[in-house]
Amino acid sequence: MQTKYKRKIDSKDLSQNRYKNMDHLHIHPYDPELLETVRNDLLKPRTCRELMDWVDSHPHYDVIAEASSQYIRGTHQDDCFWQVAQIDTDWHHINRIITEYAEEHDLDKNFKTDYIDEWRVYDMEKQKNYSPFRHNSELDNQHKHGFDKHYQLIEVTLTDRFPEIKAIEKVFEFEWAKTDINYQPTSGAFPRHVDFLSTLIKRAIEHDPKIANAQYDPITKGPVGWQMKRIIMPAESWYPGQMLSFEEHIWSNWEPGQAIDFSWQHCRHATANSGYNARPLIKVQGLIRDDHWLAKKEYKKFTI
Amino acid sequence: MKYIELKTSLLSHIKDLKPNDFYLLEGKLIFKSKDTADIVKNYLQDKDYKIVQTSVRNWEHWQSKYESILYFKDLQKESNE
Repeated sequence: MQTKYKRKIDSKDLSQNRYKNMDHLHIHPYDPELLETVRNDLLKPRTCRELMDWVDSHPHYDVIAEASSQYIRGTHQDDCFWQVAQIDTDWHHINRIITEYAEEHDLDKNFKTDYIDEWRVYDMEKQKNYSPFRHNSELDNQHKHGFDKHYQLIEVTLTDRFPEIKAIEKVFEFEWAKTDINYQPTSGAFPRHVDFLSTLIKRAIEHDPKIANAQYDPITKGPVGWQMKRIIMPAESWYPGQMLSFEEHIWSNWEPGQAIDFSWQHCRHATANSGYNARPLIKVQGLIRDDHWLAKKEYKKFTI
Repeated sequence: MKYIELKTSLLSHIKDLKPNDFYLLEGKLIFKSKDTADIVKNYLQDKDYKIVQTSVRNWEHWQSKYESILYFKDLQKESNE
């Protein structure tokens, strides 16, 4: 089914320009005054659907994303990323099935992050593309700086291929849960960015009018009355050279099953694999209410 | 602490400080005037914050010129809120 959220590359829209002087756009470090203008624009009241439509149709997504960060340098590491759970399961088996999948689909060999349609909103029978969806202006900006191999994205929720990983997804008790494997072959690098968790919120907006019409909170970057969570957990132990940074803080020496929550809204984060082994990371995201254990920052252990 | 909270607080506590005197750039506060940055730095240091002050590399693609940057070091962990 073709929808507005499944845009094609030829729908790239450069006709809109909210900011009259193009000379100041898309050049790093971004113009502080322009960022302030966009940041104030983001604070205007909108519903979730209005916000996502605004972001989606905006010709300068990269500037919006940068402006949406309210991060203050010096923020404590524990406010940037923190462990919320330990998941004990047969990680050797999970790592093996991910590796087999990667080999079967040549994920290490055919590794190039390019323009694609957005396709992870609706159910799918078979995954055909491993490039994560990027807004055109974001990908333009990344390619311009040489970042053309980010990571490969393997679908979990919308297929039946990984029941073992779906079992992990369930422990988080998310609404609109969405899980992927973020598989980063060697030499992959995804430059620093903040998120909107667009795929997650677009699925919720498409299927649930309550979320679509809920007020969007530009600071929590989600529907008022909800929190949007993205939990990341490695499927394999850290190898030297593998990097995950959250602003000035670095996560390293990880072990499988360490479930990490982080400030995806405001902390610029980045990944690179300068090691000699692929880096498989499970990414579980969803919506929660304020009485959820994650909202209360409780720590849990699970054995599956 | 988020930028919007910090900016609102500084504007309400420091006399004559205006919204366009400083902005946020990659987590740091960037000031058009060093004198204004000094005033804000002194105010924050009086509140026991550790503040780093640096000069600015002004870029050709920026619309304005800036004289000083401030950023925090080692902020306390926030509550669960």
